Amino acid sequence: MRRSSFFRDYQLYKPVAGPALVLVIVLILSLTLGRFLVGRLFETREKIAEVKKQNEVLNAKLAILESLGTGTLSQELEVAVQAIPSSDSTLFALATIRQLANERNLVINNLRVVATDIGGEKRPGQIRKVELRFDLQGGIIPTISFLDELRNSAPLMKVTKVRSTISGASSLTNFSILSSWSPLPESIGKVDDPVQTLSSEEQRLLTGMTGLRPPQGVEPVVPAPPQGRENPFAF
Amino acid sequence: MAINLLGKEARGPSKIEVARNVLTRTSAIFLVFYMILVVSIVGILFLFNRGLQSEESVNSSLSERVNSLKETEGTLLFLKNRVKLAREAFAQSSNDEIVGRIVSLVPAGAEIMEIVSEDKGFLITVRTPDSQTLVSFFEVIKEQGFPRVVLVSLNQTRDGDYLVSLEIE
Repeated sequence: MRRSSFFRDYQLYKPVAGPALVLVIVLILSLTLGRFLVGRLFETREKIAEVKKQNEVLNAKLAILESLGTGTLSQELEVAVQAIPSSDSTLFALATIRQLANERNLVINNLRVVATDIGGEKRPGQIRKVELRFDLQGGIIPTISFLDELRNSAPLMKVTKVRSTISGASSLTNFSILSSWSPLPESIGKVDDPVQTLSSEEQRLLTGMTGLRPPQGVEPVVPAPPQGRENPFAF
Repeated sequence: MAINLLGKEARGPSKIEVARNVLTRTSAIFLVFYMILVVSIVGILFLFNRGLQSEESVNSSLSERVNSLKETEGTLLFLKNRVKLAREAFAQSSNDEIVGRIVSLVPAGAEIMEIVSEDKGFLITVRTPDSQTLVSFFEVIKEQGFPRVVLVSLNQTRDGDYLVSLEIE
């Protein structure tokens, strides 16, 4: 009885079953394959936009790098490394101080070197400082000239404290001088990282550094820039 | 009991037939639209993929050229790093210049006893033989236009000399 009712219903709805099935399949495919294809479409479009953007950055980077003369750049780097050494600047600072004092017949006494960065973990590129304390004995004018010339000498030094006691034409001056140094960056970043040329202010500073008098006898070593690997210290 | 003696043709389509017709048309329309959509998407996807391949080939060629200039890039990076650090050092050195300038401007007869230069400014102690030299010294300091000058002490010694201490920022 039941079976014959089902058979009768099937016979009744058989003509609509075919089109209904097609409709259901189309709807299911729209929700699965269609969605997948639309997703891929947007994904590919985003990828194209991303690669285009990268290409723009690379083009700009290439234009900048090709416009720079390697020779000039290396010379400028040499000057800059003399101003801010890439290794401990104590020796360079001492050489400069001794040279300036000798030229002015000034006597250096009680020289002390105080490392100001003991213990602290420093990141590459972060500035490190060494303090030099000493007494300078001699004429007032040569002492002032020493102070003036110190500003125009490499490595760059900052006079943090000057205590001068003057009697007649001679003076005894206690100096505290900070000399800065910093290791050069260890990596040059990714190939598609943008680069910028030196701004006019940076160029002005660099010109200022070119005028600095380097210490005689010792010369800071300019390390070669990393090549090939993005991080030369990463294996 | 009523008996319908009309033929099938005269009775018109049954509900099932109407439903079948509607469903057939709807599914046909859906199928056609779906096929058009799929073909269009596949076509666009193909074009997009070709565009992507072309952009990627440009990208790899540019990357290669940029890689060949790595040394220049490294030198530029080093240079920018040094200049950035030097900027701080240049900005800090103004105090020494002022000390040198003041010392050279001290009027004749006056004697500098002590100069203490620190981060914020400096302290200068000067001995002058008379009040006129003292006034001249004050005028020199005034002309420099310092933002803040504090008179720390003004004393007269037994010899009649003036001993003045100024804190200049």
